[in-house]
Amino acid sequence: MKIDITNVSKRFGAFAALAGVDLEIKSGELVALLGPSGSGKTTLLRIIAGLEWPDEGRVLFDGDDALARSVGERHVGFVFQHYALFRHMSVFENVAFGLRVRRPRRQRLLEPEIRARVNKLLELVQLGWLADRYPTQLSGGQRQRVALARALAIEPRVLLLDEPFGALDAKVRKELRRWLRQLHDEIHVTSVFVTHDQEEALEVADRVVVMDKGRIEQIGTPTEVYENPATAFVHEFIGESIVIPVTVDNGAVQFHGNRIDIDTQGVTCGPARLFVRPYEMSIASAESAPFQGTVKRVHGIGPARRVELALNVDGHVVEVDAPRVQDLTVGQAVGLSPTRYRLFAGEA
Amino acid sequence: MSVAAGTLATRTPSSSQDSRRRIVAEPAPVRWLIVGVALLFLTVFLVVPLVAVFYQAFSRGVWPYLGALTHPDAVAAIKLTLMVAAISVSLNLVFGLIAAWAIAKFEFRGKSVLITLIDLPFSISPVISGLVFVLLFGAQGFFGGYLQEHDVRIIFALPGIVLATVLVTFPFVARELIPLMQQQGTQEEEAAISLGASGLQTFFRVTLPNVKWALLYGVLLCNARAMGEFGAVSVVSGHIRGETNTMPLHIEILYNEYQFMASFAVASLLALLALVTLIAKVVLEKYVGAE
Amino acid sequence: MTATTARRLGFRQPSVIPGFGLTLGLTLSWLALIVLIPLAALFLKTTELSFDQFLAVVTSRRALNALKISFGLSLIAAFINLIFGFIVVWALVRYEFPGKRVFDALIDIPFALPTAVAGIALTTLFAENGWLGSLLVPLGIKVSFTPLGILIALVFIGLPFVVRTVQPVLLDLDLELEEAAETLGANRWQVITKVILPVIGPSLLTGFALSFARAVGEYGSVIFIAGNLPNVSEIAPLLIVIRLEEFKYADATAIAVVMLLASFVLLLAINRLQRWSEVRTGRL
Repeated sequence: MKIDITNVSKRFGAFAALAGVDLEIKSGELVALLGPSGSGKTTLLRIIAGLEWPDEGRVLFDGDDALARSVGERHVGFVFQHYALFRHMSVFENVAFGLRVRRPRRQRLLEPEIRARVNKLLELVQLGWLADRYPTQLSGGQRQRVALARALAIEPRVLLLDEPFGALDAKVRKELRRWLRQLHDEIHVTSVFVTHDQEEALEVADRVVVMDKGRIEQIGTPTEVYENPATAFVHEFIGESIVIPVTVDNGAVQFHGNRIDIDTQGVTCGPARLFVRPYEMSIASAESAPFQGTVKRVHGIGPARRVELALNVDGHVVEVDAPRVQDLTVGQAVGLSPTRYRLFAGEA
Repeated sequence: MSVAAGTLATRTPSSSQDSRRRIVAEPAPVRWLIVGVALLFLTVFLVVPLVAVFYQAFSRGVWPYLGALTHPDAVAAIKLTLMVAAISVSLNLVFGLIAAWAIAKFEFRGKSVLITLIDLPFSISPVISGLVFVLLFGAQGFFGGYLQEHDVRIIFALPGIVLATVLVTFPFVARELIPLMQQQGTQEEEAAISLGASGLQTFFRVTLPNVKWALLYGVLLCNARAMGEFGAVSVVSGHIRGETNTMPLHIEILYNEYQFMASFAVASLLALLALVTLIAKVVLEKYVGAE
Repeated sequence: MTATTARRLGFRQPSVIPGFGLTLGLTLSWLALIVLIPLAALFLKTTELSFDQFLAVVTSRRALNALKISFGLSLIAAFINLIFGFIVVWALVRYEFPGKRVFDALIDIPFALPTAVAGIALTTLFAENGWLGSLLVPLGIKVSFTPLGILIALVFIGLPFVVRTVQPVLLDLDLELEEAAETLGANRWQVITKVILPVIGPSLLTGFALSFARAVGEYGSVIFIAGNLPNVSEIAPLLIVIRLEEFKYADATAIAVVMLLASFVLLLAINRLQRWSEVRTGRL
């Protein structure tokens, strides 16, 4: 199912949770809403579900006005952050709940059909053997999968997941996210999940929606948002960045009054920030490079080493990845030259 | 926790729901109906009786009210009530602290049985709480003959009233302290002892400061019940005017003699005590919660 | 020294904290003196009666009627408190209305107000010329000095129990549970019956049982309003007092034992219920 969100805004008192959000989610897509806490991502998810109503804007499901329908009529599968499993029901009954409350009554499945459907779903989430247990007897990862099976039981038109892996420990988290991706490839239901973990979003989603302060900063594939961040926020939020404050004057970039030989990338006069990935800053001889600095510390294992450098002039410390073969000693004066970079106007 | 709600001790949880607007709620007419029914019920059963006490007490003005309160029998009843409460509350305060220490700071078998036994007086009819002492110390009681020989009066005298009151208010302090002290664990005490403190030093410098508000709270509840106890005291007191009449018993006598205004005047003092206790409850809950 | 003894007995876990033997000893002694020995005296006294005599006392018309009135009216009062208590707790937890905090605090009035004060206040209110009684006279309802009066008093003293046992459970109830049920297609009625009631059910039952237990033993607030007509509006605790005043100690004791056993059964049931409730709501 396709979802169209147009100009959606939502305020909680004086706080603007969402400010004019536009988003189109294609049928069968797996989309991540990524952002820091307070960015409005959960509010957006709850508005899609019908758990929250926007102050203005439109939400269409396959062209139909979803806002005219209550949460129960929208047929969304919602997986809550803390799972919201019914503690007084067994795993089986939790999954069967949506089938047992279906209205009108004549659309309700017969008991054997319900059993068959629930068992199939429990097999799908690999929990058939736990059908008679109660939620308090399960591990976090198991609860998560029960919650997912319960949401899928109503054959939702869209699956919504709020921080699906937030409450799990690192190892289970990694397993489950791979598993979720596989599951989505099998069942192909349009899915949206909220996360504050970039790794999770980049690994699992077809497209990532990066949000900050109630606005969408960028929409794109994981590669796009990582390789071509549209804004300074996205560059800083996703992946590691070296950030150097500079100024643009007379069509040239300046660092503490010294002209630096790099492109302004269309930034006009005023303060700006230079963003470089740690592995796209090369360490060269001191004279010819745009920046000069001193090696403070060299550490790390693996193919690259992490080098901490203090920039000359202001002592600003940056961390650069240098190839293992490069010889560097503490105290050495070196030059830094970005091989690939982005320049964004404005101060930090 | 057994008969927890038997007392004021049941905490009012702070009703601070999240400010998130509820999508899942009843339609407005249903909401107003529910609130309306709830308020009507509470008004008829709680507010109106409370107002009535003060209204009746002052029905003939302030001077007759003060006159009723300063009548020698009323003064004697007030004095006796204060004395009974002071003795019973102190006894239960000491017992509560000792019992809470034993139960909360150690792990031993049969603990839950002990807690249930401490709570037991809550589930006994006050009349029975008085009756048992009549059976023990009354004229025909097990020790009645012995007591008469030695000219010791327990029943129809102060000791009987105190005993009945202590039994009725037995669990109040202990049950406030036990859950809190269990929750606080033993780490701080262990730290104090590892630093060289003696058992008593540990108790007075570490444990007691940690539970002072809960203790005060328990004492207030205990006191309210001790001053207001009617059934148990009625059985053991003998209703001797000016001698063994506590305030609640004096209220009964005046009421049965159709001295309604005087009766409500004495009642208004106890109602005031109840209100003060409730206000203290609301205030102290915050401090206890912080402990 | 006490520590080593206790360890040898093997009934407590070792601890560096002192005073176990002393405090437990004092606790048990005081408990025995004030609670256990007096209660034992009650049972000992009944042995002065033969079983037939005991049965004759307990099944005499007046005693049986008194017990029926006490237990029957207490049951009805507990039901009334169950229903209205639920409505009150729902309003207090779920809705905002003016004066909410004050009403919340007032719930405890029946715990704090001495029973004699409540008794005379209710009697005066519901007398035929009282504020509330005069409203009922045109409807042909007489409250004071009738079983209905007893019921009013029992509702009053049992009022806080349901509210105070259910309130924390309802407050704890995760909003997400209801939202989850709604996303799965449940309507409001289904959410209440299938999700909310099963969770708070045990606490409702506990509150009901506590309210019932309290009402059965109640004396002070009832005797003023009841009229105390034997076989009609005489409650069991009052009959105990009357027998005592007639110096029929054994009779009084027999009735007391029946009531006490009933309260023990109730106490056990309540303990079970609370455990069940805690397990069910996952608080254990």
